[in-house]
Amino acid sequence: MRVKLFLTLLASASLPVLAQQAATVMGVITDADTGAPIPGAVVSIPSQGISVTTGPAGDYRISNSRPGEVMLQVTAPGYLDGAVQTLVYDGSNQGVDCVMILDDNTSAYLAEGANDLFFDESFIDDDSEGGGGQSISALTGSSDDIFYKFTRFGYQPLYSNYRGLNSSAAETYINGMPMNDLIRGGFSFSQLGGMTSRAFRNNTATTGLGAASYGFSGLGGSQNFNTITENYSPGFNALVSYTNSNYYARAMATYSTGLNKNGLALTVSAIGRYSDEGIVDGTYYNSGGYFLSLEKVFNPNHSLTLTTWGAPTEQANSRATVQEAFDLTGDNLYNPAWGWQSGKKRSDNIRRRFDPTVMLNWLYKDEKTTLNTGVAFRWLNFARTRLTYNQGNDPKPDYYQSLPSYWEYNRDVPGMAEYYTDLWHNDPAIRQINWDEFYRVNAINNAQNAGLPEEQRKGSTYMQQWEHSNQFNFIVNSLLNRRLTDNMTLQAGVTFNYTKYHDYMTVKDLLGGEYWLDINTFADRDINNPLASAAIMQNDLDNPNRRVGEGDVFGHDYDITAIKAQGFIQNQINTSHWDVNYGVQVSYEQFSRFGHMRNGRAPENSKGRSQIQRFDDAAIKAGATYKINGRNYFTLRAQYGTEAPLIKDVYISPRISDEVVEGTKSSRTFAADFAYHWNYRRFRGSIGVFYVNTTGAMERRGFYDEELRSFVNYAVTGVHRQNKGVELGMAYKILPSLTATFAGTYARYQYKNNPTGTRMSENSLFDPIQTTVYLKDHISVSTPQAAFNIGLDWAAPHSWYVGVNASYLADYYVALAYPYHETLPNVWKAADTMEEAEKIVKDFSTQPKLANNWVLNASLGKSFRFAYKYYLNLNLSVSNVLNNKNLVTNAYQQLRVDTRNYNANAFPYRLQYAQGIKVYFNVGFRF
Amino acid sequence: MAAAAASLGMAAGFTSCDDEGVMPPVVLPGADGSGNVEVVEPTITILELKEAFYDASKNGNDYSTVVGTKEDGTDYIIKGRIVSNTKTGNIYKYVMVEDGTSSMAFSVDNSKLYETVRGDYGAVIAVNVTGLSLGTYRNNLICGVTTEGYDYPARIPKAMWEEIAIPQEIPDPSKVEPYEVTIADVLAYKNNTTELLRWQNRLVKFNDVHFTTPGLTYATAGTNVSRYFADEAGKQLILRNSGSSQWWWEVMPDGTGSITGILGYYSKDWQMQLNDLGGVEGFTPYIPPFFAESFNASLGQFAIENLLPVDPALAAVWKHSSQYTCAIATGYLNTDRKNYDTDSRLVSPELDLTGCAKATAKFDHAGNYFSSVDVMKQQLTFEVSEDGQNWSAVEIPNYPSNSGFTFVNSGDIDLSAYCGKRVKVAFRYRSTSAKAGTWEVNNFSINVEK
Repeated sequence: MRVKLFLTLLASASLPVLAQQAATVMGVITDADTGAPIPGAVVSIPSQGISVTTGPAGDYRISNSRPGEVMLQVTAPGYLDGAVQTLVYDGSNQGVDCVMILDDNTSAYLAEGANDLFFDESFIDDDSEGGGGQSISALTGSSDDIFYKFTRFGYQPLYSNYRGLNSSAAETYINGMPMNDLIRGGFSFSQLGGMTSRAFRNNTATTGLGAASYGFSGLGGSQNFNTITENYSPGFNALVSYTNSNYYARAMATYSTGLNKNGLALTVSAIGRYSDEGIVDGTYYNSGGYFLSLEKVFNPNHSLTLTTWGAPTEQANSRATVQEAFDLTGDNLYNPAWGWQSGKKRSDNIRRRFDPTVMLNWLYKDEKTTLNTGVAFRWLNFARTRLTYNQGNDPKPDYYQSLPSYWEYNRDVPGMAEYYTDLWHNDPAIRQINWDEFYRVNAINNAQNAGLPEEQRKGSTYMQQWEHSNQFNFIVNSLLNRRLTDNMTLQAGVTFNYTKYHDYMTVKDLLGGEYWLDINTFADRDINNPLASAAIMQNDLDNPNRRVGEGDVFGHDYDITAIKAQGFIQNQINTSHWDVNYGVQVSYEQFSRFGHMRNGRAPENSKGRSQIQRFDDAAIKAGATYKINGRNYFTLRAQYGTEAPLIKDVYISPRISDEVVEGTKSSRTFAADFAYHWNYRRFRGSIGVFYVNTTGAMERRGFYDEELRSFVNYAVTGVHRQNKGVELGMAYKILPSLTATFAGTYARYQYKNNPTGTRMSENSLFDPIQTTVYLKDHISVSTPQAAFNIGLDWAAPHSWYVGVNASYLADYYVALAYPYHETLPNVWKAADTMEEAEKIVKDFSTQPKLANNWVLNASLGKSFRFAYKYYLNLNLSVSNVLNNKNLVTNAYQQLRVDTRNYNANAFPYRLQYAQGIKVYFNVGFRF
Repeated sequence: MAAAAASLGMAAGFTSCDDEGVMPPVVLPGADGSGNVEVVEPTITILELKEAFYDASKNGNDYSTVVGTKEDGTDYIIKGRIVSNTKTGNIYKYVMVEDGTSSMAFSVDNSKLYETVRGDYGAVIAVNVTGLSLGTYRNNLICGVTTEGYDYPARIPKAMWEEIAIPQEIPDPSKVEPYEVTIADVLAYKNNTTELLRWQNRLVKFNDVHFTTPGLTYATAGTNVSRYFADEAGKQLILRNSGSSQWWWEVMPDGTGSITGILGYYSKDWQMQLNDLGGVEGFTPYIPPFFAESFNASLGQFAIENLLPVDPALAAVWKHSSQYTCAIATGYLNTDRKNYDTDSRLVSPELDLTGCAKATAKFDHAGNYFSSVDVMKQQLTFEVSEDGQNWSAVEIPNYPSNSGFTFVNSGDIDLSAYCGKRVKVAFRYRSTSAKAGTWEVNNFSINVEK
């Protein structure tokens, strides 16, 4: 627990003590950033054995304090411990307020804005690039668990996967409604538009296998955002931030009325983020966001809250590439995704996102019961661009044949490697995308068209397309929380989710050409049957050789309609020595694909409604805490159950066919964790172990095979994964204002069997090919498996705070690609001896390991209050203080392997580096 | 705190695990394309199989006998390493499999056997022979299939080979070992059926042998050619080279060395076939002579210079024999069975020996009808002249037998004394009316060193 604690002392006096007469100390405990009252905080005078809890308005009152100099201590979950020293006078009524700093470590101040920058923008959510098998679990919830907070922040600028689990393992709720999407399983934080530090500030996290009061929670824990209006403290709140990253400016303003006498409360918020060019060449950022929460309290029992938000965003991103390209350009921030066009930078990695959501919650409360019933409508609109071409080589600058190494290893043409090296060094048209060339080639096509009859006219050779994946979600949820007895509570909930997913492409820009011919020129043709070939090439057999223009849908176009119904019930019992919980969750899910095009490579199973896939699943969960005394306790928690595969993994080639991966079924997981916790005044922490064992899981990745000129899909089924490790987090208070923390994990996230791989190319009629993938004991997640963090936080006098922390991140492997773990039946062609063959197989199957690294982060802040009601917070966070430019944030093997020469490095892994020093400066103002 | 320490200890044990990810097995393409190959054990040795299906009663005629099952109903399976290499095209559509007892030649209809793990040099395969046929092709025992129109086992279809030949180990040329033999050994094996069968189609190596015609190409374009190599004693074997190989145009080297190849058999003779030119080792490169005249086709640039008038009946002393591919000199006229007095030179064109440090001449020659070698030495001489007028004899180190037309090499005739000069050389023949022998000369060459 990175403790930086920050106190504002509002009352003090200096009158001598005259007599011993009980005094009253009272005040309000508030959040330093938002001014929101903190209910449930414990305010105590340890020297007098007095302890009280704040009420719903953050207020407290101690009426029996002995006069004298007292140390008032304040503790609240999620906040740093507060302490105020004051003199209490005989019989006086003294106001002592305490402003509480959110208990995050120095990186938490990064988190203030940098965190949403980090999690929202850097998400590798693009499975078409091959890195998508890897999804990042983002933790943004509040918790005072030291290890959890370390996982949240301690890895930056690298990604952390809590316990090596995918994002789908962590459940995200908003107002008790499960919001993970059914297609990909996770929750994309970008839909919150960068407002996690304000509009979505009120949240609760459940770590690991703990029991939550708002849902069944996931294997990787959960978080619940609360947007019920009355929870926002009234007032105005503004933030202006500068950073040197994807964007450089962010401004956000929030206004809350608080609950007025008519039972109405309103919170509105707006945000903007902008850069014309980010720190990486050829990137930009342009995002706005809105938030509104309106509540009507009808009576003490009933209230209705409407929440809506959305954040239309357009950004141009960088793209991972191979080390050779970084070496050639001498720049670890080299971005191959842009190029010059008429003297201007133009990107081919533009993403547009707009995920408007509307949610209505009806809250019923009485003394023993809370019933929260909600309905939500959400539209997830995502599109990204991709350059396409219908002949010649891939025009991407880092296409492997445009790199010197290709000419060194694969072609014995003297001088070519040097030639390409020279081009990379000196010719921006080679190093970057050559847009002018595309226009030139398309213009030649147009020129050749002159005077030709319509049917002979040529279309674009190069074109830029939009790849859309949109969703509409309709979610109904009801959550019951009831106190059964003094020490027993019951939670139960039902959820219904209707999802319609739509995946298609449109023509974004013909790049000067007349039209685009909607065929796959790289289709695997039947040379003996030209008629069949003509059919195979068609993307839409019902509209053969269709010419499409800008804005037209082409290529593929399908929907997936899914329904999921889910319910859970759980019981929590708390006694003086034991806390016990147990619960069960059941779910039913069904979905089907509907194709709008009859694809020439899958004429029988591409158009129309597919068969319905159905999955019934259940899970049980139990946990126990044994409290030896108030300072020491043990927890043991376990979960066992089945889970339907993610919809995105079920169809082997969903763009062209509704064929389902053979062996599709629900996975089965047993997970448990065990920990010892201690909590002394100066020293607290926990150490534990966890174990997550999943069998029968599915994974799927797609990649573009440049040789086949086709998108190739690769699924593995029957996967056995095992994640286990040690987690440690502890904090030691050296001085009341100086705290040292240490946290770390040592874990192994491994495959434990050799599952079946199924691959299918989108350009052929061939049936999927099945093979064994030798994955046993390889690392299943690309994240540091060993990570340690040491931090020092000092709440300096005069409302300054300073924090420094360092992380050591190790045992970090590149995300593996299944084809590197297949047998190589033709390896003998490249090997002269059995030893050489073994070496080749070894080279292929050795998972590349990334370097171990140190990262140093620091932050500095100061808070001002003036005219009694205005607050100004300044903070400066610097991550990667040492300006280490060799931190790999993301690395994945390409799925393509060299089966011609069996050179394991012919298609090396792709990676991205973190920027060097990152500064985040934030000015917050509220009244 | 003690609990924390205990937990830590427990936790450390908890994460100890297998760090090394598994490696896929090194596999070969299976018959089903899976790469999952079953290990097959042989049920018979190749020599046993050969002996079982060799049919002496055929008296050298081709035959083809279908191999059935063993007495116990199981299949005949052999297993061994492929010792033939078809990559350079000298051996074509054959797979020779050696198992330590013998080698079997499988005739397989695949022109790119080297691209398959069932045909590439150094691979180990098992072959289920039941259903195939054993028989001879021109007395060489081979394995193929019985096909209408063929007396001998015909080529095994490619698809069939892929089913019956089961890869066992990837091609590893370093594990191929030839058997070292001598020409005398293998010539003796021809007289013993078991040894003949044992050694047919094995990879063998002959040491200390030389090519009989260094400087010639291994073959001619598109045509298979027999060349010869011999041991010190002059015992020869055929080296059969394909005109479709990727090296037929290379010339055979000089000197002695070793030759490694497949010991094939054709009709009544062994014939070696090289896997590739790696089978020719230790020789010295053939250096073309400064001047050479083989007399194979004509007398070339040599001119006849008669020192005595030639009787018109005899017409000429020196003639060219296309029958014996040599220059031939005689003073005997067959038609009148009469000897004549003759003295005639066969004179070379002018040879420019300026700028050389050493010069040697040599040729092959044979003689007959001389009363003794001493007479030959008087009557058959090798002469040199600087001006074409004055001639000096230079000793010929080796003379052939005085009768029987057995060619021998002259040995090196040292002409170094003439280095720096322009000279002519001549073969001088003499005869008397009492006795006129016959001299045959060919493969004349002069080598110089600068």
